[in-house]
Amino acid sequence: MSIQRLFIPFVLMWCGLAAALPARAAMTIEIVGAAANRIPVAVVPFEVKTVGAAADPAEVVADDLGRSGRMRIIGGRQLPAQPSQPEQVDHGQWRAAGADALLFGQVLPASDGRVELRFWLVDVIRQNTLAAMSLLVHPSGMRPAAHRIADIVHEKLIGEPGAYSGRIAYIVKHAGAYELQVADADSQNAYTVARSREPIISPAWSPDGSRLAYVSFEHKKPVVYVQRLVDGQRTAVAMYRGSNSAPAWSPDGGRLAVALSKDETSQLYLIDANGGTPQRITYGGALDTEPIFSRDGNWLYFTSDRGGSPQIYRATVNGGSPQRVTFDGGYNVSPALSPDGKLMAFVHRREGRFHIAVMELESGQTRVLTDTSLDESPSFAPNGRSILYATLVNGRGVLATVSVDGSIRQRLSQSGDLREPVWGP
Amino acid sequence: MNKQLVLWIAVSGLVAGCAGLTGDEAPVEDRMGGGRATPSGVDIVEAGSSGTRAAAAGEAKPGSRAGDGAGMSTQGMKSTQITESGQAAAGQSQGGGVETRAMPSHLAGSGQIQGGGQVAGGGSGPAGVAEGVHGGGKDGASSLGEGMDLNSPGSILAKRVIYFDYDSSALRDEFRTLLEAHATYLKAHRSSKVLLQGHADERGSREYNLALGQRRAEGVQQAFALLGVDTAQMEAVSLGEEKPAAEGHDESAWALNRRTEILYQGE
Amino acid sequence: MIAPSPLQGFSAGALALLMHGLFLTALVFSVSWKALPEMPVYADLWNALPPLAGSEADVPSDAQPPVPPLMPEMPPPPPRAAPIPELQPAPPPPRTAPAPPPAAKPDIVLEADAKAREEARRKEEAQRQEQQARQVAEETRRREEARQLAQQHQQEELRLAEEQLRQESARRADATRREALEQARRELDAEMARQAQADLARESAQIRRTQDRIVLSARVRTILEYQERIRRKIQSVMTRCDQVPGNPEVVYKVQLLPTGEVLRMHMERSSGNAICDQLVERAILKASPLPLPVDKEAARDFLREPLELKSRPNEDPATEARG
Repeated sequence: MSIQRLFIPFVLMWCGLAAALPARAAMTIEIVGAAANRIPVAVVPFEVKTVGAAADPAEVVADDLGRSGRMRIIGGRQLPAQPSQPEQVDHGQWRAAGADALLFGQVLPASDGRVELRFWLVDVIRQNTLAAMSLLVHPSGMRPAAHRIADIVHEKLIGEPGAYSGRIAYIVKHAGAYELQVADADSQNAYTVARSREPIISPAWSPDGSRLAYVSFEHKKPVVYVQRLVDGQRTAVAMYRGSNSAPAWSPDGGRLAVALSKDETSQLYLIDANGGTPQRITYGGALDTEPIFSRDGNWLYFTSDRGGSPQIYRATVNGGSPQRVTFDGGYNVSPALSPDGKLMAFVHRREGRFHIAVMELESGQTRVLTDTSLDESPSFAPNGRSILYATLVNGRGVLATVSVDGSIRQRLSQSGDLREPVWGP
Repeated sequence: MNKQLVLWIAVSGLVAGCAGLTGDEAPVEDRMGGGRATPSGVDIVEAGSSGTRAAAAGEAKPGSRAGDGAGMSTQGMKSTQITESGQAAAGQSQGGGVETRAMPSHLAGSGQIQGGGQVAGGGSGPAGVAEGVHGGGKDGASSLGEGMDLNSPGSILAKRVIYFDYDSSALRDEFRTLLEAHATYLKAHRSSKVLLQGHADERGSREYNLALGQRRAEGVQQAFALLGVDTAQMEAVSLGEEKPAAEGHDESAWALNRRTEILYQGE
Repeated sequence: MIAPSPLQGFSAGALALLMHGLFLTALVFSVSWKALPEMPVYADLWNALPPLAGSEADVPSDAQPPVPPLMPEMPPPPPRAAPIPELQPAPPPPRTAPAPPPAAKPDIVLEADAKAREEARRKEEAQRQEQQARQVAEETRRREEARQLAQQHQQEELRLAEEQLRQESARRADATRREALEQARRELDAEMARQAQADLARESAQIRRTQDRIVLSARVRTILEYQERIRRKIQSVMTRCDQVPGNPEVVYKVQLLPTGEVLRMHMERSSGNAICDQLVERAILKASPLPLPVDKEAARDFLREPLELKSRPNEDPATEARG
């Protein structure tokens, strides 16, 4: 009997357990990891309704997006249909084709000789329209317009702005001549800004993109020039005794920081962008060069060997004692700042090889992004997500990009011996 | 030589002219197939640059073995080398003197050269360097007798290149004689002016290398100043890594590219 | 049907079995909730699983789910072999022999057990009591087994009845369960009267081991298997959220149709990045229909309540499995 008593609690508990079961509910399944890192996007050729068939912008868009490393393009024969209007879209069909999103559009004649680019970006899985837009452009502006469409698609699908519609400047060397060229961010559509039989180095965009500063050796020594893109007019802004080099624009476009050796070996100065008397910033017997302005214009980051090895320092534009910024390794040069000012890209030497590295300025945390060996001239994309640089492949200079986390690396297709790329504003 | 130089200048002038007339962007754009509005380009062609080019061309590969000083004082090599290289410098746009086997000048002379006279050992070394000047078309222009002839191949003054160690701008002892000879010449010719062009090897940042080259050029400038040369006669500049004397990507090439060149005005 | 009346002669045994059935049901439910989320364990367990392909297709679609189907042609033979023989014919000296060889896959069992308890720490107290109850039940069972030694055939019948009972009771309301439990209790009391407490203590350890195997019974394994299939199917169409640094987690609650298709879903917890949330949503939609067990009973476990799908697309699965 007593045992029976003893057992009652157990039985009660049992009943409670049974009653509780249905309420236990929600089964949880954890899905860890992902099989893909690219979003599949179908890009349908635009329906061209203008006379004098213009280039299909879809092609340019597909190229751009494919290069991003973030999207996988479904095109050509993989396309199950060629819609040009939203009503023609059958979501299931596109889903079956493996697409997450679908871009299609039309090229329509507009007034005064312009064309209208109308396009839609549809999420065929979630079945909603992510973008429906229209751009009015001159027929000659099709390419830039296509890059803008790519920017928009990128932003809608990835959630951060693309950097396809920017311009880049770089130096190309061929047949004993040097050319300063400007091209679209995909290195297409290039044209020459300056050409010389003597070296041209260190191109730098003015913040508004209207001018380029660069160093030319045409006088058997380095001289800093500023050239307007619209009419090619140029000025020697620094042609002092000794070497004049390493121009960098202030954020307001009014001044340049340069390295001059007129007083001492390679010191930093500020000069008016139109020329004028240099104002000295750094002192001391060390080499100071490669200045760049901080985004607020108050600081100069630069390369100096004042500590014995070349490292990156910073000083206020009013002078004052420089602070060292890089400490890791014996060779850190060529600083570049991200648009938000939080990251600094630079060239870092490790085991005799030169890599692009990036430092989080606040924490000082540094990451080497490339594994090529002679990388130079890092420069941030306007969206701050990738870094353009030059490297040597088979003795030839090529341009490449790497995402700031190092995960996506690409080489821009270009012939010739290219160096010192800079991403324009 | 003079004829060739003139011809060259004429040709480059023509090229420049043509380029200017046709507009540079047109062909470029055609190639690229672009339809962008064309900002004007600038064509930078200076006849004066030919001197530098010739000099640089002549110096290309002054020798690939920096080590064997013993074989230095070979006698009879110079004339042939000079002719070869001279031709090359004049006739090619770059990379002349490829066959030249002359040693870097610093290995040649030290100790042997006393004043002017026939300095065989000194002469053989800088042969490769000399052609550049030769090709520049200034031969005999400022002859000062045998020992002080700027351009005669046998003269120590025909040696115009000072080499440096890695990441260093220190002057090596072996170049003292060379520097003294040029200093003496400059003091004797107050109207002469020199451009001291520093160079660096290709490793690392272009701008940092430019600064390194500047330091090397200034090192030579300071040495001249200490030897009594008027600073107004000199300008130290840098061409950084942009004008390599040797095209290779190894230490033997780099050793030849870390240098300061003495360029007399007008050359 | 329910009442064991026709089995009078063996009423005691039948009731004991009923009791076991209830036990089993309870354990299936209770343990599955606790053990389900455990990834690492499954990773080992299901390595040998048929590759996920036709999903439902390669599951035994046998016609008679009742008795043996609990153990379909499922994969790893060792775990399945273990529990059954132990449960019935095994007549070994009840008390003395620490009979069941640890064999099988003790590591997995232990790990599952450990994990389960870890997760449901707050339920530990309840569990302990539960275990005692089980001990009692187990003891009963042992006695019963001894008696049944000579009655193998009848026992088969009993087992059938038990299965039916189990199924019924799973479907039935609490009232039914309680009723059955009452009967079970009476039977238990009778048994317990003959049982000394010392016996219980002596065998408790062994009982626990046995019970852990019961947990890994067929039903649980079916659930685990299909969780893994669902996991894999979604993972195969998932895209990384590279734009979000670190290891974002998105949780969706998803109500499925019996076909496995997503009927509706809503976000339970955002990663903080709308694009990343979208990527996960797309992956779930692309994976629809999700694979469900053909066995309706087992499928019900996936349909009764919305599934909670917790996704960490940037995490390396290998890392997780190791941890």
